[in-house]
Amino acid sequence: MGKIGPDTREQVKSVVLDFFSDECGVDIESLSEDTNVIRDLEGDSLMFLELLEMFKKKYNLDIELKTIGKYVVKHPVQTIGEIIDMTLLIIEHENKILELD
Amino acid sequence: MKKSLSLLFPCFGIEYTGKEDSILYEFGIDIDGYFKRGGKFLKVDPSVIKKSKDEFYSQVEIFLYSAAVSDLLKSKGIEPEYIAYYSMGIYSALYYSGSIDFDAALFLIKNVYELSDDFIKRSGVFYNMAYIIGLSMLDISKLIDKNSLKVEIINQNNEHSFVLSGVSSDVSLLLEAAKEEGALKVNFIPAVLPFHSSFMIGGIDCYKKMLKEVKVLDSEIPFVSCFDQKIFSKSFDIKNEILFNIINKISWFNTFKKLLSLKQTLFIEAGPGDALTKVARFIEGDFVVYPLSKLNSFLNQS
Repeated sequence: MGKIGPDTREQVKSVVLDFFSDECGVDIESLSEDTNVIRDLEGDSLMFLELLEMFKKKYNLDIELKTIGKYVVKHPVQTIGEIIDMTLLIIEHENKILELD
Repeated sequence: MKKSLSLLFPCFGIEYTGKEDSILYEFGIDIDGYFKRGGKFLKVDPSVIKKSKDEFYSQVEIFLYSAAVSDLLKSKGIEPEYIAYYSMGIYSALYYSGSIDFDAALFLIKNVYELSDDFIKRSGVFYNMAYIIGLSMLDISKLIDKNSLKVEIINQNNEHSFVLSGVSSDVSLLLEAAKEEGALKVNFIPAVLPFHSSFMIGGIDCYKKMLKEVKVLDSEIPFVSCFDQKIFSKSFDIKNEILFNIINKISWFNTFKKLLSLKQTLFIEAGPGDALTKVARFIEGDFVVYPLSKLNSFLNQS
């Protein structure tokens, strides 16, 4: 399992904000944890997939996409804050994330 | 010829960025002129083609944009080492290479569509195409087999993204099962003809007969087949490829990996939208893909 340290949330937040700023062509200053990725940035699930792949490599995670997919269906995310929180859960629990339910 | 550069031609069903017209105008390309030519050939008003939800006209539309981008690239002296095409992007690719002319491309699009539509309608079976993102090929195959579905995986875009063709009701069942299995995204593609599947084999004789009427020249730039990733450029092989492309499953993933193995590092998505650019993000390798919206960046760094 990935280790969650005191700085992990900030690291994840930084990656997520950079990602959406770059992908959606918006100023990073205009993004916040309340930004709705679908409504405000016209984001899509491919972006979430890309983020997952990035974090998988960054934290050397043992995750199966379909496991994450099953969790996401039950716990849909829309805001940047929700994506950050979901990512932290994935880092911490990896494929055992479904056991949280 | 620019080494390490390949052109990628997209097919219908893509999402337009909405900026295609303005970008082309900025480059001095009169996209309306292409729609007028297309309308003249098909004997319809150009407005019928533009932003059409009709399956046939959406195929025509993407060809017209790709033809405009092709001419733009040629006007800028951009000559790739290889050409690749995604599914029905083959017609745009052949136009770019000069193997077929503008009217021949429209002739092929129209006749392949009409012949296919005709024999599918006569079959009395309804078909659909769809995509699944987030499951593996094995996962999807198991779902198909477990539920005895008349659905085929007809293309792999990258490790996580697959395209399917099959009987409508079975495609619906598969998408539901895929969602339960954990697919991140599933959806129908706006196509009721089951391209690239064995369901299309019934039209093979009609396609062969139609192809005899089309003048196809050798290409100076080699293609990479989306069907079996072979390199080809002769007119005989091109005609075969047009046929194979209709009735056989394809693999964009293998095609792109073939291009990477041929040391291609620069790609231009030679058409509207940026679907192929997005798909490439999930393919490992050291390369850059330039969609139309980033063509200026490519030109500036060349």
